Amino acid sequence: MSRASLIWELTKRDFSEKFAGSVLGFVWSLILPIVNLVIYMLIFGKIMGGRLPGKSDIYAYGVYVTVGLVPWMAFVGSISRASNIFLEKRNLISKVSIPLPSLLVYVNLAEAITFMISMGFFFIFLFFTHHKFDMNMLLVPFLFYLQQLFAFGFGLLAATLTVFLRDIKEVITLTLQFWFWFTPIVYVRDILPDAVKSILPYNPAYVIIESYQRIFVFGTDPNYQALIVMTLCTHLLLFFSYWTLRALEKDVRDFL
Amino acid sequence: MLLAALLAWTLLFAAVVALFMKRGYGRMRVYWLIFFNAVFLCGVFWFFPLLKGFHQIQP
Amino acid sequence: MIHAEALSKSFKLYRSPADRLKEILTGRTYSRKFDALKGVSFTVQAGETLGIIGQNGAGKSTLLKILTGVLLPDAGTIHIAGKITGLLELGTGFNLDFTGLQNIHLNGALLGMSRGEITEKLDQIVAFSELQDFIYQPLKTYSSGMVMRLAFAISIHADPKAFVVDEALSVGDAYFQQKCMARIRQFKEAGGAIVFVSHDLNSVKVLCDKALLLDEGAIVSEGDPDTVVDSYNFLLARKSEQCQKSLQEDFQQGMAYGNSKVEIVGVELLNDRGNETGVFASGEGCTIGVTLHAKEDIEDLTVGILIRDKYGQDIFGTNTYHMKIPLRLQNGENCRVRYRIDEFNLGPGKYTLTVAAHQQDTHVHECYQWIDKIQTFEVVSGGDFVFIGLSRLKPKVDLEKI
Repeated sequence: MSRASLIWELTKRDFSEKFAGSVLGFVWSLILPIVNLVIYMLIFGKIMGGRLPGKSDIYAYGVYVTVGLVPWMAFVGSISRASNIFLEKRNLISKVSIPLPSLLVYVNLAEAITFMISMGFFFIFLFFTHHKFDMNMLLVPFLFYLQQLFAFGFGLLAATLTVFLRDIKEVITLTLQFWFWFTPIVYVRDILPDAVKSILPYNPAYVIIESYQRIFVFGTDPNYQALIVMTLCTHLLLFFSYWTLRALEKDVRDFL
Repeated sequence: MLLAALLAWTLLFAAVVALFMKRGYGRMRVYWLIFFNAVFLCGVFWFFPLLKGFHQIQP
Repeated sequence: MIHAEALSKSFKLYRSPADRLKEILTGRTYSRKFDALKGVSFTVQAGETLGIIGQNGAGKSTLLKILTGVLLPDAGTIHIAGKITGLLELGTGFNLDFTGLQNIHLNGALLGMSRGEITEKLDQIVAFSELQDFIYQPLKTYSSGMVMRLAFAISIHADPKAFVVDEALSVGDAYFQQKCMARIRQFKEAGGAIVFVSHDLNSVKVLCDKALLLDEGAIVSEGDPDTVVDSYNFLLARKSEQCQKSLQEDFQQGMAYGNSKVEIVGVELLNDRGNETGVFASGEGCTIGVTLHAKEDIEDLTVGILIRDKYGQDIFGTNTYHMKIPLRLQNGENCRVRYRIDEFNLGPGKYTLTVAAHQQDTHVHECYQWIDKIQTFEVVSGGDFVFIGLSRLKPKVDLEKI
């Protein structure tokens, strides 16, 4: 119970720190997603005239980019912030007894809140453009949960190792850059050469992002089998990350 | 119907976790939680298409 | 309440943290080991206060960090029946841009309070800290004393079963310190366990039910506070003896200042009974002896002493020139100068002794030898006369009704 309130307080503080001193404060965390959404829809869809192959809808490309980028931002944000979180919060860790994983939980929670705000506006947009609502959209929270679990496991491992080797953080930043361009988010899968296409299913981000795209853009079922495999892999990663933290926690605390 | 099933499954999972947290189980607790979580999510992705198919056949 | 058994903790010192990973991967050792705690066991019962004393680096802060769960021990177990908080976390997680109220919420959560608990105790916390007028102001407008008040108020209201009191409490004004002490006493009477860490030996004697002395990570003495404080003084005296020896070694290697026409070969600090010591009670007698050896014929010799406090401030100094005692030595001759002080009226604290041999009134004319901090000693309060400060002025009080 007390741990939950600790995580909540840290998350709240994270938001208020981000906008501390600004007049509009929390309103900024509503404005930024709207602006992003407008950019995706207008710039990518209308002005740059992006069309998805086989789709005549002018917003189709905008929707495609949105359902790729919004989850991706949460994913990347969680991992890159997590990889530095122990060092960032060392003054807390070295003074009060605080369970190390709860720091990652709050990072993920903060990203999840941003995600939910963005998705909220996105659904409003879908409603006004008379987009077809599909039963599969009920899966979105679970997809997001799975993606953040993966980010959690990955972030936890990165956070633990970064304490010993600062370079990990930079390596992660670089990896995430490559990862972004290796995942069909702003482009469509078909433009990739066959060799790359064949290894794409092994990209966890692809499995997730493609599911969103199928649900929102193409109106088809996600690949359930791939999602189950991904769930199992994610939990193996979680298991391994947590085990690593356990093994190294004493050293992590000593070094901070 | 689908929504109700998802909600029920989620609530069941939450209840199990809550009960588990209350009972303790010490240092192995987190590993158990990871296991429950995996069952929960696999369940969602496994039963969702089945339930949906069932739902669509219904008039 | 608090039960610690055979706590051990060693730190591995690496050239860089990456070496730790190398060690895991290769199985070879890239570190030096440093034992901070070696099998420390103790128990603090409900309503009891345990004092922990020891020099810097004796393992006190490591022990505190293990107690509060910030560090994990290598071996041994620790059991605390409930929460432990303390001023160790003074202002941890305080954000200067946030208001006092927001900081109460965050800090409370860090100390393991739930939201409901915080809301419930909010009024009490604000009332105790006496910051009603400032609670909606950002923390950066607070003075350090006010921050301490807030921190203390939160940690004592976090409903701990054990409380750690350390030097952090000495921030803040005397009035609030009194209030804190009263609250701590109340906490103790309600069955809380207290761990008290301080350099102030007197308060350890006054406040603690028992004490333990740490030296180099091990308990060297435990039990009744008076006995433990005595053994601490003994330990300090022994250490300063060793320190003096090493200073003299330095000095023999030519690190002294001066032309060495006269050499200072020994310094002694004697108490009333003529025993050498490093600890004096304020007001008791003291003799400072300086032994010199002349390497040339010296026509004009002045021998001086200077006492400085721990901040390096001159407290008292004089020399034989000012006391109008002419000295002359012949080549190869030895002599001993003794300053007898009937009442050593310094306040409690740590001091250093500096001695010098030179010409005329100051060492700027011709300095034979000047040795800084040749010896350190401590003055503890003694006798019935209670005072604070650096000097023991002995006033007489007259009362006259007019």
